Amino acid sequence: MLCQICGKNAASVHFTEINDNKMSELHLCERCAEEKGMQGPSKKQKFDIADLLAGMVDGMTSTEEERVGHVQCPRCGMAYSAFKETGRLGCAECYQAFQFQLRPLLRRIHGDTHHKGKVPTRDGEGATRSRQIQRGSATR
Amino acid sequence: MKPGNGNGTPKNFDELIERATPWLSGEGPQAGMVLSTRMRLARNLQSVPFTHRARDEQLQGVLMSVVAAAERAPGFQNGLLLKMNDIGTLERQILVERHLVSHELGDGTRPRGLLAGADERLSLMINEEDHLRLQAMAPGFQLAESWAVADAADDELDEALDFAFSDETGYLTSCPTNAGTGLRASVLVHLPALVLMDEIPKVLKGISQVGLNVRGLYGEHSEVMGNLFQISNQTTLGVSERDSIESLERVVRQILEHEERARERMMRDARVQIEDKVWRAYGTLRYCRSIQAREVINLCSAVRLGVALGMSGLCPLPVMSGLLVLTQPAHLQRYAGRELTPAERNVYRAQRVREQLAAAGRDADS
Repeated sequence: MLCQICGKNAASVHFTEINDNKMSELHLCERCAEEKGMQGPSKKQKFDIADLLAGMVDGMTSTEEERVGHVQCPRCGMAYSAFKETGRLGCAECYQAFQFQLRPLLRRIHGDTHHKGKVPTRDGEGATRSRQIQRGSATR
Repeated sequence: MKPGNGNGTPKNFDELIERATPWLSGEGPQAGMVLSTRMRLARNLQSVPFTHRARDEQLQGVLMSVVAAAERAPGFQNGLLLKMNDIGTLERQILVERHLVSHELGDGTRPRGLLAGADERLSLMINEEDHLRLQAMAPGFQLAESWAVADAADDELDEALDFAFSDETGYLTSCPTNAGTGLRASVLVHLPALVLMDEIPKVLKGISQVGLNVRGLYGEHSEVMGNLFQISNQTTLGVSERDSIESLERVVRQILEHEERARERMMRDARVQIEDKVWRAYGTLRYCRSIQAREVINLCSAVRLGVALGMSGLCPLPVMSGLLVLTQPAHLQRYAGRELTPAERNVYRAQRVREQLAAAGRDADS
């Protein structure tokens, strides 16, 4: 695939942008990505999923956040804006605190928002039974 | 469980690195094309902020809780605990080179630890990006077997630890890319024929289209060297462990079939050129006087291909696999017993490679 800006070099940097619930994809060569400020030279070897996430959530949730105001986790105090910068949540409670912002992001990353795997035992007998069912089908 | 102490009792660390790492054993199903299989499960404790937001004393508490839980877990009996801030930079780098710890865990500035099971097939990184990163490694292509090991160890730890979990999102992780199962199943494959026949771009494109991920030998951010590709599942939410593993297994099997056919075609159409390439690589390794790690990895790829194609007189796969790690900078400096400049490393690396191949040749003659 050729770079969508210069149309000459092979595209090796791929971005997905979501604006107003519309998703668009951008495929660029390294030079054009750098020129657009989307990839600094020092980042070539250190491209982090956090950078990608931060870029993805940026366009997607700004309007939502404006609507709900400044969102902060009541337990660890992490602001949603800090997650947007680092791509990492602060604690387990953040998933609940930021649920409205995270749901579309999880769907974008995983194509789904509902867990289908094994379950820990602490939830009692029902969960143990559920785990056994999962395990029965998880091993061939 | 023996406490590791880099300052006072390096014996434990020495014992750990003297053992053959399973992923380098050169054995296991499909060893001619698959170096190793790995399962990683990400878990966090419900009551403590994720590692990057937790205070050092909280992480210390996580370390103690996890070690106490592991003491009761059969999978970690007679294991070894290494605290990252107790051991030196070189030792930490050795663990990174052996794939026992990640770059993040190896920084040594916070209360982090590695718990290695008795045979190094099972290990646990504590206070990495997530509080627990459980890892099961096996030589060759053994997805179901590795999953069974990881799953059982996870259950054992779960008996004593309260993992962060929600019914909707599953296991909760610091980065939402791991939420759900927290599972990263990966297979390290050697695909020289697909690369030589220029068929690899098509294969890599296909892999990404089915939701799998490809990385180099040293994981995230690492480039592909020596025709070695790590193929792993990408998504962890909305898909069960079983489905993730089966899908990976199915795709890897297809890739291996492609590689097998490419090897057959290559040998049918260009046997002499391939044999020449393999033996020139072997000759360089056998007689070099200064060599970089990258060149070792690339030459080993050619020799590994020759061995897998049944060419006699080359050295066995375990030796070739061993060289991948033994010639890395930290391992070399450990063997040399001192810090080496890059130029010195190249000379010493060449010496180590020659010695390894000569020893393998003697073993074959005896």
